Amino acid sequence: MIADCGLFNAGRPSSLGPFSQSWEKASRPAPSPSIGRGAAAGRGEGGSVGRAQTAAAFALVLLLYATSAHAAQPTAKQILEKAAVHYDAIKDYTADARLTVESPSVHVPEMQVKMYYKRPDKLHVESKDGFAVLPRQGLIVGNPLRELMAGFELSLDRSERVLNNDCYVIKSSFQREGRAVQSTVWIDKKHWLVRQMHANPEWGPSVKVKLWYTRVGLRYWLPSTTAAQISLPPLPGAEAESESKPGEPTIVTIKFADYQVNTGLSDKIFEKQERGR
Amino acid sequence: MQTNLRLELLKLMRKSRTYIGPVAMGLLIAAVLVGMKYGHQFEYMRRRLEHDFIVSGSFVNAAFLARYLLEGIVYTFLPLFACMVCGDLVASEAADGTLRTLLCRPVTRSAVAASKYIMGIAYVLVLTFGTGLAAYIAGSAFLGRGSLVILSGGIWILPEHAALVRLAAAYALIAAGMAGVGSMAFAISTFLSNSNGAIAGAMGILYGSAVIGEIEYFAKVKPYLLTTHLDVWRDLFTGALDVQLLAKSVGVMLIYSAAAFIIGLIIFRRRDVLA
Repeated sequence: MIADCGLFNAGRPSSLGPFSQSWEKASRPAPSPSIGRGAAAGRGEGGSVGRAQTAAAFALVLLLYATSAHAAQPTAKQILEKAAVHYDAIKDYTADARLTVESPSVHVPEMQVKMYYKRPDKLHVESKDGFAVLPRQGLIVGNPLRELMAGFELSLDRSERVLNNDCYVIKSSFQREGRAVQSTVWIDKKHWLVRQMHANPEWGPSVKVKLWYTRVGLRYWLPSTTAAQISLPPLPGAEAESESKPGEPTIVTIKFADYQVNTGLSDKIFEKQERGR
Repeated sequence: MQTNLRLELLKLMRKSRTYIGPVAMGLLIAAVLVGMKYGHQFEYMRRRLEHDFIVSGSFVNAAFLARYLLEGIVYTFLPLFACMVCGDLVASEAADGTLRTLLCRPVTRSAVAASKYIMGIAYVLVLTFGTGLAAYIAGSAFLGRGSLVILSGGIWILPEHAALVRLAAAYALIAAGMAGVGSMAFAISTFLSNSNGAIAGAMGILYGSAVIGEIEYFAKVKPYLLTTHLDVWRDLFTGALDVQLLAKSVGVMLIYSAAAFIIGLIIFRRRDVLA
């Protein structure tokens, strides 16, 4: 397991160095007077010293094996930083998006929108049908790891195969709008891309998102499809009249096409986002 | 019959009260349009949507106006103007003293009553559909067209073509309801010499029916009330279009219309115009 893991490393320094040092201290044969006393005391004790030395050597071998294995495994922060490189390379983009929503309380047809994104979080959406609503929780634009990297708890939990990709599973806790959010992210070991995310806030909707990617201009990896499963809070009028079953999730699928990346989008595009009419 | 219909049409066109309805509806559409265009009446809807969604474009459009208008006119202006004309068809003839002269002609009383009734119903249909059409056209010109957004039991967004179908169905249902109310006004007007009585009587039945429908004790009667079926228009904008429900409600309202016409016809045929 990785050393900078809050769960596994409680009460200890979180870096690998002190962690291995403490193990070394614990396993090193103690240069205590007992050895001298033992030699003087007789053969009986000399046998136990030999066993202790064997055990210590065995522990040392184990430790070396364990630390070498750990050394091959990057830390959670390293994984996130490496994955973030993909997203940081994208300053802006435009894309056509087709959005479908399956929900007990949101009944919308398939919508076609043009999305404009600019770093860090500027988003402008133009509907091709005059009006469109995009569930905020189901939308992954920009760097999805930004919040996670700022999290106060970060740990590499396990490895898992997701969407046919071997992934690191990283857990994080962070604050979003005053709410504590427990988040898990699955990062592809091969391409260092976020393949799945799960955010479970203290209150409010919890979201699971799966991402499929396309390579744009042979340089940038951007989502070709995102599928989000959201547990929405009650909507207007839904409390009294809805026939929906409680807990039935909303599934938002967005298919992206025609990406134009880093074209230098003007800020004016984002200023004209319609507010009312 | 054609002559009778033409005659009734001419009479209808020459009465000033015929124009009160269309003018009032036109003014109402204009007022609602101005409110939607320049006011902030629906900001709460937008804010509520923006809480959970990124909203692109405006939902205040022609379809929204045509649907919103129904909220205000189904139980007020439309039945009132329908009754004003239908309740005046026979009663005004009696009040003006022209009924006796009218029946002196070599036409049957049934033909006279039928032509009056047909003209009354035609007026109601034109008024109802005309209101919807005028609202949609005015909305298209000043607010633009697009999907219809409904906040009822969640969020419903109907694409424009689907919204037009739903609006047509809703206005058709309401037109059938207004025909029922107008028919009752016609029936009452056949034995009165004052159209005010017919208007008050038909409106009274409509509102009475709405009140009875809300009383639990009369739950068994509710499925047969005109207002129960008139309220079905709201359901036409949420969920799949239930054609069976629409047909049933229109059917019930047509039965109301037919029953009222037959009652009116019987009374009219037996009416003593010589006294």
